[in-house]
Amino acid sequence: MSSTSFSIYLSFKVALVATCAVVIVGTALAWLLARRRFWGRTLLDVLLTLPLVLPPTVIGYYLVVIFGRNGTLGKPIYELTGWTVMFTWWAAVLASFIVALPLMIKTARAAMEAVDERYLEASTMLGYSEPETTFRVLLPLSRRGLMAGAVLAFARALGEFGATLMVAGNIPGRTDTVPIAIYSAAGSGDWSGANTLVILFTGISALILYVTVKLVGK
Amino acid sequence: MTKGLDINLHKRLDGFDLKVHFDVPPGLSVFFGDSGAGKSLTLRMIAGLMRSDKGRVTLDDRVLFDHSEQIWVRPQDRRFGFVFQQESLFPHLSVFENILFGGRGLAKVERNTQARELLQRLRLETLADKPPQEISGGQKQRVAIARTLMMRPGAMLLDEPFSALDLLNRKVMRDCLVEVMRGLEIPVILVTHDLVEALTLADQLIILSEGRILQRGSPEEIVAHPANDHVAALVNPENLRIPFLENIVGDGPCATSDSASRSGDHREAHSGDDCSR
Repeated sequence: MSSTSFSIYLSFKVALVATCAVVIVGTALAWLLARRRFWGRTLLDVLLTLPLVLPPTVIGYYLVVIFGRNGTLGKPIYELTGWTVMFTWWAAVLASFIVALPLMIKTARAAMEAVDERYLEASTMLGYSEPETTFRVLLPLSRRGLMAGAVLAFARALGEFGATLMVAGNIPGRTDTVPIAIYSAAGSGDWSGANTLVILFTGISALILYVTVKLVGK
Repeated sequence: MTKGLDINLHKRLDGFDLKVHFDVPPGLSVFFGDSGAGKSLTLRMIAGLMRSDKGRVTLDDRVLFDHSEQIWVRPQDRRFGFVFQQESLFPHLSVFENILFGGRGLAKVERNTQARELLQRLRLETLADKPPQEISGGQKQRVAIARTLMMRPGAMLLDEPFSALDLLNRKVMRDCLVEVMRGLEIPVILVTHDLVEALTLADQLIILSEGRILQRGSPEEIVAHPANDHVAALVNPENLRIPFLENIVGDGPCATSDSASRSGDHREAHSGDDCSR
């Protein structure tokens, strides 16, 4: 596999795995924020939105502090298993997950809050419990927003650079996703390689945005 | 065993105090009153969609809510068929799927058979595969009624289900409701501020104003002997003597019913085409 092919393969693998996790966790958190009133809800909302406004390097820094070999979680994990997530492709997944999560939460939450309460009440009055109503009525009626959130999250994960560089590094053939490979190619004067990746990546991103507009634009 | 609903509710909201105590035997009881009288609020509390501050609700001696005993049966466990004022059909399901949705817990074959029967009974067969967005307001409410009947409800609660319809469709839906209720031995509460609906459909008429029951009884009793001037003004049949309305309801306010209609026999007086529109 050529280095270009590997970068594209790795980028899609990372983005796909991160998006799957984002869709599950993001939908659950969006439901919590949209449907529950609890102490600390605003604080949770702020915390989950932070990755949207923080520079990716700050997120990367936090991830190093938490998941690094001497990190809050990273240390016990390393001592227990002898494994660290740092500088593996899983670290790229972790970084992508964190930066893409708020996009999913915001979109899914807005979609859930737009579902008229009377549909949920109708389901309740027909004997369905809250989880049943969530899966049979709320989520299907929010599906357009959920799909848009997933597409946006995938696009964001695919383009993730800063945090990924800090936690996964730039290891050719291991952690060099497309954005990192472009950075490397440009940095080392390989403009032809950079050009190929940039054009491919622009095309893919445009396609993803087109799909998103089609999904939510109606 | 006491058949029907026994309702005792007390709820305080900002600037509004609702305190009602009444029973609803099998048959059709109509909640009638001005807007803001607390009709829909009472219905939502009976359903369990809203909590009452105090009181007790029982259905056929089954306690659904008792404040002093701290009993609270969740709305999904009360088995009340609830038809909302605004359309509430699930837009992601077809008409048939909406009706099927009401058959929670039924075996697949039984569910399908029952849904087909209801489609037929409410003359919705031709609409089965359509999405709710493509059918009329009256048809939507018929589907909503069919959907609640799927669950074999212990009681039906209808919150101004015809208020969004035009006069002609309301008449059709009134007749349809009467036809549907034929043979149903359960308490049905219909909330309305439409006097025609109140006088023509009610076995028991309950007049509500500012959170209190002013009077209850048969429509004839209330019209003949209103408890006070306010009730008299509310149920005055003269209010209905508007020429264009008479053309629709027939030759008078109670033209779709007669004296028999109020004693429960009205169900026999209607043709089988009542749900056909």
